[in-house]
Amino acid sequence: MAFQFSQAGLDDLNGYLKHCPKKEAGLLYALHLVQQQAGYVPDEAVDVVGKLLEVSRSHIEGVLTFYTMYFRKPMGRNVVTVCSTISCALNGALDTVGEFEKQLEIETGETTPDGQFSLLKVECLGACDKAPVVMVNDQKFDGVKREKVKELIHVCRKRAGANGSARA
Amino acid sequence: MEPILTRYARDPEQKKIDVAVSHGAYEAAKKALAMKPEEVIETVKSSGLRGRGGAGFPTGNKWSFIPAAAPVRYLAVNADESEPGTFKDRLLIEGDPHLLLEGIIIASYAIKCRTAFIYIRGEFTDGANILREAIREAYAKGILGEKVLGTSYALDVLVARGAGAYICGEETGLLESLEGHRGQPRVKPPFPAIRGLFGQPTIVNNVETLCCVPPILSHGAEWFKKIGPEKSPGPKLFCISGRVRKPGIYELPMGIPAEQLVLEYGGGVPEGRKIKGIIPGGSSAAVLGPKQFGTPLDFDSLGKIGNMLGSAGVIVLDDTVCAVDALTNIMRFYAHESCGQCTPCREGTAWSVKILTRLERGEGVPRDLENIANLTRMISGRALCPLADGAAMPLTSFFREFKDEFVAHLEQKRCPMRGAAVPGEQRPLPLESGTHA
Repeated sequence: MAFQFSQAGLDDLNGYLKHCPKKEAGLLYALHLVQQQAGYVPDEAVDVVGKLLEVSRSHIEGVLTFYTMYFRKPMGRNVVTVCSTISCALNGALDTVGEFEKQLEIETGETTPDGQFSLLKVECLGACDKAPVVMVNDQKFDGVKREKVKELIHVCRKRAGANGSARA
Repeated sequence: MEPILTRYARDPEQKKIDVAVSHGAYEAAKKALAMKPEEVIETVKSSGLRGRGGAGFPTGNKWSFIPAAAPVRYLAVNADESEPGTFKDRLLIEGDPHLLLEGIIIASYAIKCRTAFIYIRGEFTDGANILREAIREAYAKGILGEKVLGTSYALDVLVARGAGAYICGEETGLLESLEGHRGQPRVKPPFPAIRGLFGQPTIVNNVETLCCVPPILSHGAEWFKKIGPEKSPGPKLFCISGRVRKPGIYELPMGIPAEQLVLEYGGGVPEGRKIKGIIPGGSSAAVLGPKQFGTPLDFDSLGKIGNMLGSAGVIVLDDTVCAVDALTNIMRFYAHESCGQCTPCREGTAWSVKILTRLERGEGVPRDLENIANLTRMISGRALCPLADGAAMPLTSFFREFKDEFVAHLEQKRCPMRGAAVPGEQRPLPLESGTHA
C-alpha cells in the first residue's frame, strides 16, 4: 500500500518548513514522522518524502544510512534498545543485553518470530547516572540490571496485549 | 553553594509556565529587552561566561562575531548532548524548559535573530515533547511570537530532532543535520558566526550555556564573576557516573579537585574498592591517574595538564575495572560515531578497536603496543573536527596511565583482571555495535 502522511503529520511538517528557506531542511523531521506512522521507513515513503521535499532518492538513502534511529525494515512492536556505552557497561549493561537475548531467545539485532520484540544495542542514551539504561520505543527505563529484565519484558507484553501495539 | 541553574529543575511542576513565572521566569528577559542588544552582549562578555558545551569559548565574544550588516541570523541551540558520561542538559531541558527558553530569548535578541532552532538529540523524546509544550505555552502567553513580552521584537523558536548521531553535537555537523543532510562537519573557517545555517551567520550555543544567561542578566556580571575561579566563573553542572555510589548531577563552582568531587558528592567507589581513574570531561577527556586526582576541575587547570573539562561528565573507574576493556568500550563508541569523512579518524578509531579487542582476548601480538602509540599520533590533529582528537585523548592517556596492564595482557595472553573482578561485570562487550536494522 502506498504511504501517505496523516493530515496532522503534514500540518506539523508544513509548520516547520515555513521557517526554513529550503524544503530539504525538513528531511529528518519528515522521516521521523514516517517512522512514527509506519514503524519504519518503507521504500514507498522514501519516494513520497522525496517528491514532497524535492530531494533525490539517493540523498534520502544517504541520510537514512547515516542516522541510527531510522529503521529500513519492519521492527517488533517493542523496540528494545540497551545502552552499552562506558557508564552503563561499568554497571552491568552487557549482562542486561545477555539476559534479554536469553529471555527473548534472539540475538541482538533480531526480532522475535511473533513480532513482539526487536533487540538493539545503542551508543549512549544520555542517562549515565541511571545505568544500565534501556529504552523501549520512546520510553526510558532506568537501572535495568539483569534481574529486572524478565519483569520489563512482562510489562511490555502486557501493554502490547492491551493496546494491540506498544507504539505511541 | 545555592543551586542557580538547577534551583527548580527537580520540581516536577516547574515545566508549567505559570509555576515557572511564579518563580521569576522571564523577568531577566524583560530586563534584557529593555536594553540595547549591544549592552546585553557586553554584560555577558563582562560576566566571563564560557561555553558549557565542551570548548569553553567566551560566550559574549562569540555573540559579537556576527557581522553587523547581516540581514538574517540564526541561533542554533545545541541540545544534542551525547558524550558518554554526560547527562546535564537533559535535566535542564526536561526539568526547567522555561529557563532555557528565556536564555534563548535573551541570546536571540542580543544577536538580533528572528528564528532559533533547538536541535535536540533524537533519543530525548521526553525532552522534545516537554520543550514543544513549553514553547506552545510561551506563544499562548505572548512570550514568543510577533511581540515578545509585549515589545516590538519578534522571535520564533522551533524544535528539531536529531536521529542518533553523536557527531551532530559538533557545531557544523549540527548545522548540516538541520539542513537535512548527513551530519558531517564542515571545514572551518568560515566559522558559523560568519557563515552558518542556510549560509547565514549563526550562533551555536549549548543548553547549559544559555541557561546561565538569565541569572547573569538578573544578578549582574559582577555577581557571576565571583562564583568559582576567576577565569572559569559561574555555576557548573558536574555529572558523576560509573563505579560510584551516588551517581548524579551536582551544581558547583568550577575548580573542585577531582577526587574531592568523587568522594564528597559521588559518595566514592563501592565499599572495599579503590579509585583507579577519573575521566573528568566525558569520554573524550584524558583519564586522570592517581597522581592527578587533586587536579581542580576547571577549563584552565585541566588545559594546563593537556586534559580538558569538556562537558564535565565525570566517569569513575574503580579497581575492578580492566583498563584495556574500558578503553575498548570507549574506542568502540568513537569508531561507531566517526562520520567517515576523514581517513585518519575513520580508519584509526576502527583499527584501535581491533587491536584493543585482540589484546583483551589474549590474542595480542608484540607490535600491538607500538601500533597503539602510532595510531594515536596518526589520529590526533589530522581530521576536520574534534571527534578524532576526542578519540585520541583516551587512547593516549589510558595507555600512559595503565601501561602495565596493556603489557600484562600481552605477556599473559589473557586479561589479568578476569576472575578477580566483580562477577559478570568484566566481560568485554561484543564487537558489533549500533542500531542499524
